[in-house]
Amino acid sequence: MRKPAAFQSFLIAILTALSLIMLAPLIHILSVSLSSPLYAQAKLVYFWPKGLQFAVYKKIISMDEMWRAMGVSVYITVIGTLITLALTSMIAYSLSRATMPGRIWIMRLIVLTFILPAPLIPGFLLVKSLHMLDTLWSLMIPGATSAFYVIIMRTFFRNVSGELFDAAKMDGCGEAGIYFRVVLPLSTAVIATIGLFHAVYQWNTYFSALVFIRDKTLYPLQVLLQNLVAKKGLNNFMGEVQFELNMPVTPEMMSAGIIIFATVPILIVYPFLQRYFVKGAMLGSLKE
Amino acid sequence: MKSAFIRDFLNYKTMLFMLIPSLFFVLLFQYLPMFGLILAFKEYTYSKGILRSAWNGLENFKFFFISGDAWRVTRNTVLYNAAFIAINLVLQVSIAIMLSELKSKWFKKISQSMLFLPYFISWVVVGTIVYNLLNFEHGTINTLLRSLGIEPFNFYSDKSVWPFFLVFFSAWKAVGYGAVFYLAAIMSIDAEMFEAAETDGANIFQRIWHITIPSLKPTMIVLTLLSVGHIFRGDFGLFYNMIGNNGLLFGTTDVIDTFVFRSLVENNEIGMSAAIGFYQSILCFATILLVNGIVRRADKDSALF
Repeated sequence: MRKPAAFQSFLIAILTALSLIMLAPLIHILSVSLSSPLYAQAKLVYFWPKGLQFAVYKKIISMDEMWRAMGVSVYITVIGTLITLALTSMIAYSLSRATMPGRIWIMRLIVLTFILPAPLIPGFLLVKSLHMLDTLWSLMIPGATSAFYVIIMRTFFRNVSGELFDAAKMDGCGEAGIYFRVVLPLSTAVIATIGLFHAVYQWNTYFSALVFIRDKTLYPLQVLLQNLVAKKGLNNFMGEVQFELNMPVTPEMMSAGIIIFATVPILIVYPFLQRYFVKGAMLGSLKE
Repeated sequence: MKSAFIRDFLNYKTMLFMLIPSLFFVLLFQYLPMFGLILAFKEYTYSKGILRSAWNGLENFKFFFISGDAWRVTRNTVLYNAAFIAINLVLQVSIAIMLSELKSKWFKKISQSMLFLPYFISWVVVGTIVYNLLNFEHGTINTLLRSLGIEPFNFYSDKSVWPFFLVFFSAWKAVGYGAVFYLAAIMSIDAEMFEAAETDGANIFQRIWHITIPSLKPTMIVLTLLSVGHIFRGDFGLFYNMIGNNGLLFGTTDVIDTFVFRSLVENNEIGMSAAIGFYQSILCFATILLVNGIVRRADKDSALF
């Protein structure tokens, strides 16, 4: 091999630079939220808080609507992910068995939904006629089965050795027994991967909430966040607020704090799932 | 053969039972609303519903195509998606290869986590961060420019800079996530192949070029085909949260989905929105059939169907 050490240093340099680009905006936001208003207002805060203080977070944790929205987001993330994992693993398992009749057509039917998603208005009218408007089900059920997840899980299940199935059958396991006792225990990687993808999707749900939820007490965090910071932000809300010396927090610090509050809980999931992660993300051929 | 069918049914009833919940939801929430595409050819009245509203031919399509909006938003949508697909593919594959070549386990773990981090950040948050960086009066960049004595730049009134920012943040959010699929594919390459290459005296670059990249081909094709299936759909979250309702930027940033959203919210244009949805579905369907056909001709096993 030619100069392996130089090549390793080159890789480390590039990947460090890329990692910093990924990390920079969040570190900046975190620093702003933790700085004193004087520095934040003067834009002297970049990647380290100046005049460290926690006033923003004291304010945020005293806001009832924040905790309510946090509750909604945690609920749809936990329940929605469990529903999706149960539905996806079951259908992916039956489609992964080479002997299952009709599996090719059912798979095509599912892949087609990826290319032709349900149109917006008829989808809305359907959810309405099922009396799901203004319920949290409207945020979890319509998107519960995703073609992409079915493709990934089916690929993974197909790589589980067929010999294990035969052995399980010899021991008197039925299909349900194979699924619960052989396939699921061997599939932690793919379950963790799809679980993570879907948890992030549910946590960041906001378009379906804009469409299906009118009741303000059922707003998930992202919608509340958008109402509090983004919408006003785009209408120049920083410009309207005059800076006062005795003000404990600036609007910009407030929006930074809310961003951190709305992002950190989902980040906590990652370290627990990281070690399963790469093994579960196999995307094989869709064909037999 | 009937008896064979019944035998199959009994044999597979557990599996059928496992299929049914998902299949039921797919048929109910994905396929049933597809019949609602006929709304494109109707004058929708709320009291009558989709089925009983009167037909009105191509009336719903008229305004969209005559006004010139159709061309502008379709062009933007396709060009952005083409750029996202190409740039993200190259970056994702390069990052996956770089990560897989790293010798240090802990550095690999940390940089992979950092690169994946933006996947967790919602578009609402990205839009807010970008606004805080770029706005004219108080944005970090403009404050920095002023303190250096340089004229500040009003990003939110210049439509020519936005294609760059949109492509940048799309890549920022997607590369770490996409790299995971390629990294998984690299990990499944037989280690003996690499050893054999080394014995034969191949250097790192020859090994990457002749072993790693060819074995990533199926994953590249599947992911690209799936993205091409969406080429006429704009990523609403990205565009709406970065641009909002800022009309000054629409020339280079308005995509089909943000246009539909505005016509629905501002003018309650149900008929036209349905017509545009129909137009997108037909174009996406035709594109995927075409591209899939080309792929199948070149390499039968890689095609989606």
